[in-house]
Amino acid sequence: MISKVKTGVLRGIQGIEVEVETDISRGMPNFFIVGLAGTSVKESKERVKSAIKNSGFDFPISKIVANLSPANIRKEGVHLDLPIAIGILNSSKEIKNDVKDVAFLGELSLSGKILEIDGALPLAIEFQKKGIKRLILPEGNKEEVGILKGIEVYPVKNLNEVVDYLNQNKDIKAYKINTSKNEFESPKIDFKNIKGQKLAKRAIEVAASGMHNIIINGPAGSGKTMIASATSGILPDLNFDESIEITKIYSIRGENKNREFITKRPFRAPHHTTTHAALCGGGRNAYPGEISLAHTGILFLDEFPEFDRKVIESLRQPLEDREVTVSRMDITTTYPSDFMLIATMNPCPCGNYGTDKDCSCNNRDFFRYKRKLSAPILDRIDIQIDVKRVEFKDIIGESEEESTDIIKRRIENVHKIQKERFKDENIHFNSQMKCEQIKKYCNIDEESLCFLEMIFEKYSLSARSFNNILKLSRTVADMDLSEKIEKHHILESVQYRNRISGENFNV
Amino acid sequence: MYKNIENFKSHILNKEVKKEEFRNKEAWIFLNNLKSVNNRHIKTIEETFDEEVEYIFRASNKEINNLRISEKARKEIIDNRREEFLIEILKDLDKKEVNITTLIDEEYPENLKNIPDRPRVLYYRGSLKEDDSYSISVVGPRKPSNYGIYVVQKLVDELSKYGIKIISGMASGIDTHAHMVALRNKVRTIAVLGTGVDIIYPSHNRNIYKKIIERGAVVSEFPLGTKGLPYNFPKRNRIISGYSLGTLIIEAEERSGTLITCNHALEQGREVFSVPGNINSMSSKGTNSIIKQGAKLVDCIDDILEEIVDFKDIKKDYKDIEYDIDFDKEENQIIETLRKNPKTIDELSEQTEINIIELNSLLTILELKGKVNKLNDGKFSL
Repeated sequence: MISKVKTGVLRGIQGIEVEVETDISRGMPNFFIVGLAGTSVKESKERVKSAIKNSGFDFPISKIVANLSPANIRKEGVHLDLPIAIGILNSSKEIKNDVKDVAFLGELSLSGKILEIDGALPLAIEFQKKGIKRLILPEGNKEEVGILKGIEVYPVKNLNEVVDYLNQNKDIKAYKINTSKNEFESPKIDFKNIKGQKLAKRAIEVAASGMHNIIINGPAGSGKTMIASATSGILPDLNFDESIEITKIYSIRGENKNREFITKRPFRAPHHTTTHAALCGGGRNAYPGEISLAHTGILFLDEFPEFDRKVIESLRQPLEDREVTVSRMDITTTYPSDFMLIATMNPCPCGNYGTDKDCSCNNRDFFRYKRKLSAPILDRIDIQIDVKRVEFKDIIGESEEESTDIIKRRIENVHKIQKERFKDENIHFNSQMKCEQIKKYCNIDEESLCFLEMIFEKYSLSARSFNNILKLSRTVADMDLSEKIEKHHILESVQYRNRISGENFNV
Repeated sequence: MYKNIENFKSHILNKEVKKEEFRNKEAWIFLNNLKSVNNRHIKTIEETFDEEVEYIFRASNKEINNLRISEKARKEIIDNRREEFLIEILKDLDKKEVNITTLIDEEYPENLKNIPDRPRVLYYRGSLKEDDSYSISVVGPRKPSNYGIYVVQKLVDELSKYGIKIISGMASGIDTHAHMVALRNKVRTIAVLGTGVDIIYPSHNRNIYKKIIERGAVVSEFPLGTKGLPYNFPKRNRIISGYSLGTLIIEAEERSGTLITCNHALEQGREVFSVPGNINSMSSKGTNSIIKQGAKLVDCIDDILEEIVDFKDIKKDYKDIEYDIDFDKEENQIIETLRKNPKTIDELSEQTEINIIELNSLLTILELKGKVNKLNDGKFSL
């Protein structure tokens, strides 16, 4: 008898519905899995066999064929164990009821235990779209999927439980949550603990308000990393759609701790030895990389010029398009990568140039380091600030500093203003404005225009850095709750402009 | 403009040239473009042929083989004594818009004429002017300290306001800053290169190179296409110091290229000015030690102006434009605070008690008014 069981496979971030057809017929006792099964699916044969036996069911001594349809897509993933097992049990009448309106996901252990899987959320979303009403999935995955509406989620622990439930011998309650606990721990560093560095704090607040990319330049020990780490605390929480998007990506990689639904913005800090496949995504299955894991949040690249040149340049397109397309032999997929970049750099490789200490770099290294960042990359970084080594009196000082919570509340407000402004556009933040949008939303009066012209002349700015200043001015004006961009907004923004690329060559 | 090919007298290979049509020019260009012939060889040739270098074209092979120069050089001269060889060079010069001037030409820099081992041939792009001799050479390391950058910006700014031309080497660091400040003040500036004038080295100075050609000249004694060879740079340093009336040393480590320039200046009998620095700073060790040896200590440009006789007249041209601009109360407060030493925005905010947001705007205005400058370590200075 033929049984049909619904499940799915992942294609990048997208789930695809797959049907497992199982046929038990007379013939040499054997077990085949067909339908372009990958290694992990082929191996499931042994797991399924043992799990069925060890759960106290009979494994049919006949010819068993499990077909994964559609048969033209390559299938990877251990989550097909459970649907294949259910297919066999259904065919052999261990499960009497029809299972057509249920989808199954889960990895089996030899003892019949059901283990948690990667990519539960994107698959569940696909089932929900296809109108499947019930989803049986591992207990460990319930937190990330439980938030979905329109599909009932039944978390299970072992194969027996599933069979009992399907035979209506046991009732399992559908799991439902409304809000989730926060996935990312609040950063350990609070802004009130960062003494001094007023300029850096202000610049970071501007950057976070408009999600502008920022590069912090300063010698070793100036607190660059500390400021960057604290920044994740001042970003507003995610809305539901953003949460779904980012949880999907984490779900594929199995990176979300306890497989929870993510509501806080991610903060990713890959080390500078990262390869460009790890950063932008890749591997045989075209997995998402760090820039996609940082989607909606912060990508923090410490010691930016120490990254491989190829790795740095690979950021050009994602920074512009806010998404990245990863192509591998079997699969081409596009991941969102809309992040705020925080980069840090030293004044020179040894980190002492321009301080009281003597710089020990030779000329060649020194200039190579400076040239490592190309103009196209620097052009995409709106803000550049210099920080100094913290002074002793600042470290022990008892000065009152603003706490992360106060700053966060202000930024939430600015994000709200931008959301309202861009509700008809396909962007969310000031930093994402393109030429026409800048023209539309960055109106300035005669006097300010005059100033801008002077600035343009004096620093011989490029068209792009000119636009960057306008975008920054828009953010600064928003922070001031001002509808119009005033002169002082522009003047402040000019101080934040990126000077590394120009290298003061404003003759 | 010197049209190299047009002016070329093809009859120089003709044996019946009269003494009056003395054409050392082509001969010098010819010798300068031979790889194994150096300045010392040229001097020997000049002496042997009684200053009539162009005889090199008409001399018999035997006469050339009797010259007391290296064998390689003799062979190269004999092999290349063809009209085509010279025409090739001149065509290349024309194509790349490079001009040439030799010791006997009018444009040849006056100051260079009387230094030992003066270059016979100078290639240049841009223009050479007679009053370029009223100039100061500015030298320093490629990797200056913040203090060095501060000094070069301040002193060159003031020098160029007096209309004094700035000579330097277009290397990274102090040289670049010196050229930049001069260009900003619309004063002629001349870059003496250690490569051929068609080679931009370091390559990221391309912008400055173009600007210098527009408002001054890039000059080199090396044939076109000469790459940045390490032993050429100390050689060109003698031209940097020889080109001007005095050499201003901003910063120097012990045993640095900058000190080589200083020694050249002394040999040439030119003034050496040195800016003192902290005794614990590596990059001021050299400048302090030459002050000890008798170089003139400079802490303001009057020290330079009073030392050089030719600058006495120039002084009158100086116009102080600072008084044309008004500053409001807060701007004045910032200026007063910065008068002591350069400061970061954080330090300024603390001392003036103006908040960061407002301070950013004020500093932009002051930058626009040309009163303050942002140094490359993020500090602001007057």
